[in-house]
Amino acid sequence: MSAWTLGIVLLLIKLLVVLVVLLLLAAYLIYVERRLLGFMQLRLGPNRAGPQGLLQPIADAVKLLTKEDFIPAGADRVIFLYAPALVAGTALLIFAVIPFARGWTFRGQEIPGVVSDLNVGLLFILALSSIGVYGVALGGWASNSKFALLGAIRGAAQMISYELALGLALVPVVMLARSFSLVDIVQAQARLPFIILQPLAFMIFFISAVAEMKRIPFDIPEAENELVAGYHTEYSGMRFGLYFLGEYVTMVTLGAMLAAFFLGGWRGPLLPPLLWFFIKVFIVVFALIWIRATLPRLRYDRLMEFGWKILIPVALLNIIITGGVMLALRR
Amino acid sequence: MATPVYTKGVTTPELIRGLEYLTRPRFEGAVPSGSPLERTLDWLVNWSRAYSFWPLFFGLSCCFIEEITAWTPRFDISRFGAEVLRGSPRQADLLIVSGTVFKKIAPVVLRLYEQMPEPKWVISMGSCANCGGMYDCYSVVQGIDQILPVDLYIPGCPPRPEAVMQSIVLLQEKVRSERPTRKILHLAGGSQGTQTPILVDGLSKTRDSRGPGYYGTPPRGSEETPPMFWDARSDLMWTPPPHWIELSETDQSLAKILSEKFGGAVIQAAQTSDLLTFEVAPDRLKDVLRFLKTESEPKFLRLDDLTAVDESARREREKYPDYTLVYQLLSFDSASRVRLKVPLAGPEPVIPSITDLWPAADWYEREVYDMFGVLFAGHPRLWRLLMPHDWEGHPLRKSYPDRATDMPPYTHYDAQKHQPRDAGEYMTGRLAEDQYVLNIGPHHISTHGLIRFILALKGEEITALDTDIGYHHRAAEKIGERQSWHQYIPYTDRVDYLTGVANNLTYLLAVEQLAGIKVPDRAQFIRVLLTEFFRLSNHLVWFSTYTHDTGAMTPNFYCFAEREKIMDIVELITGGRLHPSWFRLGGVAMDLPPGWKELVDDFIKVFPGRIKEFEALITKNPIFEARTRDVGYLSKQDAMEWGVTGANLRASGLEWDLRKKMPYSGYEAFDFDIPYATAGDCYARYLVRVEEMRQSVRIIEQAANQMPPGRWLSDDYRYIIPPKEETLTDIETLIHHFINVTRGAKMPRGEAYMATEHPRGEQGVYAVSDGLHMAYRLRFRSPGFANVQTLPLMAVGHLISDLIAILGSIDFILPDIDR
Repeated sequence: MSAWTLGIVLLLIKLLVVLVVLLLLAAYLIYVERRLLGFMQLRLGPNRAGPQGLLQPIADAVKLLTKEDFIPAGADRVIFLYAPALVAGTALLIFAVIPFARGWTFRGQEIPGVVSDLNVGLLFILALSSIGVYGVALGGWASNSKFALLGAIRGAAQMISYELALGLALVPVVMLARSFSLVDIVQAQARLPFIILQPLAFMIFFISAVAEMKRIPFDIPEAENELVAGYHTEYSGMRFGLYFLGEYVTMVTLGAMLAAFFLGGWRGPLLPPLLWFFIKVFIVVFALIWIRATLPRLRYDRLMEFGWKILIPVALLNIIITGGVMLALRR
Repeated sequence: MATPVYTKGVTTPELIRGLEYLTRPRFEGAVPSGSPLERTLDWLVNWSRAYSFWPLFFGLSCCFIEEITAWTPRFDISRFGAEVLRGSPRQADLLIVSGTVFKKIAPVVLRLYEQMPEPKWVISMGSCANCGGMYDCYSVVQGIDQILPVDLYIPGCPPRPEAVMQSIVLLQEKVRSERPTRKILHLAGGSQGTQTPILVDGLSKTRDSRGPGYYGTPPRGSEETPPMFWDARSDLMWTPPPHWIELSETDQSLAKILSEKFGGAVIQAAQTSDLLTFEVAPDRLKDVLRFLKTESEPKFLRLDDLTAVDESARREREKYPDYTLVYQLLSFDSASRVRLKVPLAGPEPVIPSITDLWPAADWYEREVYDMFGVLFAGHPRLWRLLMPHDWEGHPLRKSYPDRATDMPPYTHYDAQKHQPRDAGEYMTGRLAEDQYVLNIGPHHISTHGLIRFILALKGEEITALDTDIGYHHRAAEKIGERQSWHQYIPYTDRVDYLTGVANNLTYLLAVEQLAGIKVPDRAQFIRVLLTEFFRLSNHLVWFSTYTHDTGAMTPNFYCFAEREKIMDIVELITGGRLHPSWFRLGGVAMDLPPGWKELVDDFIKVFPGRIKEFEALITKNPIFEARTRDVGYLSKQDAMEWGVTGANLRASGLEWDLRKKMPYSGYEAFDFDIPYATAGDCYARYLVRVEEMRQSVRIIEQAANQMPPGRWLSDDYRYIIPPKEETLTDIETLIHHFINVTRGAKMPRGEAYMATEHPRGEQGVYAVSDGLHMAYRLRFRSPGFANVQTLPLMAVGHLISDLIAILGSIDFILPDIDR
């Protein structure tokens, strides 16, 4: 077998493994969240489907897959059918550029611990998360329902606004690492993770990312107390499941992004790199679940105010300060 | 096979056989068939579905409280994977019809059911949904199975949370008997979801209260099977006159001023059992009202209540007009009330509207029109208020049938036909070019029941708001005219299903006032103790739902965990949970049981710490403050004029609490503060309610520690139901017991109004007796009715999210508004 074919085969295997692990992770994240919320709320959470309820995600998935796939009258059929895939798809694709381990060698072949080391990986992430907005906006718009439309408008406005802060928070990271590639960014944190050098950027990125994910306290586009279910009000079965799954895949990728940008990626003492990566992802995810169990929901206009009037100016200021300090240190 | 007995030393095979026996399939069609592949797929799909019921966030009435309790810590339905409540029917698998199915809401329930994708299952929860239950009245469908197919029925009124858990287990069993693969693959055969048919009254079900098998046999004592008793036998008995009171000096001077100013147009009632009463000529009514509101001393700022009585069925018919309108005003300065009775003649009398004088009269007049057919000239929009817009007849007229079983049965066809009024009609003329209409309700997560808000929106800003109520109209007032005085007590619990015995108290105080029944001290204290427990329980539910409205999910669970402890105490003392129906005329049903004090003491020790914890989570939370501060402002003046009561009034800056201002049931003996705030916004209302919880704990502590000894029931056996033990030793008592239990005690002819500081505001009962064993007219002055009517004042100009925050801060409940 030539090195070239071996490379292709190894790549395909890696792709498959990453995809399956990512999907399983997202599915089990739903289970973990339900259990954790249960514990935080003096309950037990799902524990009957399989031992300790471990088969719960499978039960939910099969249930959703065998449910009637309903399209409301007056809906824009094509867009309605494909919008959910956009959300789940972009969330999955983001993971392609995230380094999750140091890499391995197999029969002389280098297997990097990343699906694809794009030299503009960071821009790729931002671009994909922008496309994810369409999934929400189009899904809500195509449903031909007022609640869904309101949710879609809220979602589009919120995600576009917070994307700015999200991008700006990453500028200092790029400045420090002198690269858009996530592999290089992780390399640059060999000595110190960026969370120590850039705590402000970390905070801004974390807050904006929660808003991007539409989770409490920013779950305004799907605020069930106000908009029934928001942009996915009219979705049933696995199409709704895709929105649901997309949200949890995003949680994993967010954890991975935070790990790569601020927590030093897979780097860590003693334990193997892959394990460190998962630990860091899980810490982020746990924080998200904890926040969900604790906080109420912001109001739409306050959210926009917070994004535009606080996060973005502070992020800009942070860039200037970082630049200034770097300049000063160089001299 | 014999039923296994579980003892020590049972071997594993025996245990397995026993379990097999206990878990044998109870549903037909469980015999496996088809190819092995098909059977495996069937098994997989059924297993998945059985552990993934996502119920629709749907509740109709009292039962929903017990249903949702099954989600909370002590019960925790999430173990079955069934905790994922979905607001959108598109994502739901299971419809738990929890509560009374009203004719006005039935079309909405059917629509929600139809919006759910296949496969779907329906559980009918509680007597009302099963068969109408105790509500055999004109506004209630006698069983959800007449419009929807039902898989399972949970009996009870309301069923306990454990019963909800059991229903999930049974439904799992039912699902395991289905054969879904063929359905999923669009092949012939197979089964999934609800298979039962919709029932048709008279064909596949009977509403005969004697049970099945009697269909076509007329009940004894009817026209077909004599002897038929046309008159109430209580007519023949003698009762003393009602309890008359002495009027205060302020009242006497006011009577004098009115008679000087208006002469013969205002005639003071010679005797009264409760408050200053006048008969006013219809043509001078508005002048008198204007004088009382703006000029008189003291000024009567609040329109306390406005209702009517149909006098056409009076025993002494010649002494009464055709209808009597009753206006009741309240003065905050002198803490006194006045009642104006206006006689009206003719089948559809007309009287000038007073909406220009009191804007709050809007809903009251619409209700009188709806229920009695009295017309109000000059009312801006005299639409029906409680009944559906296409309803025929006026239910509170004496000529109108009170029972649903006396009317044609409600069918699937009716539920398709009688759709609610189109939202556009509400907003006619109020909608600008760039605005649109949004319906919130009648079934929506944040409406906390069945109420519909019609919004005109510009973006998300509310430019106009209208409210459609009556979806929860349970005919409580009409039922009061047929149940005996004692029999009616259980119905009062359900007027506000979160506050249980607090409703008993208002009703009983009114009747006791009318008949002059003295309640012993111990009973007074027990009543206060339990009422305050229910105030706590209500405020806990409010706290949990209000924080949930603003997006915080966890306080729900903490609050319900504490509430369960209150329910334990209530259960120990009364034997019931939501609806104890435990107060009786002249006292309470039983003495306190042994062990009550320890339980109460434990609770008092723990609970203040819990309030602190809840507050730590919410009170200083910046997001919560941002959601509630400066939102939903209600001025003190508006609050007073519109009849807003309870914590809402106190949050607008008026220190007004009936427990202090017009004490009843011995509240003057307790030391507590009236919390109030001046901001008038949602946050102020929140703070006042939280502080009220602390004050309630103080009252409970005092009531428990100073509990006086002695009887817990009056010895006025003419009116009350004597204790059973005494009937076994004394023939007189036995006779009273027999008469009062079977026929019902006869109350003197007269009327009385009593109001209490109910957890939600001022609840009043106006009991009119024609000297019979049941009320002639029973009127509830409900706090929610007045409070919710002010919603446009608070919400217009705010955003949709604010509306949700405002709704929760009012703390209304639908059976209380619609009765």
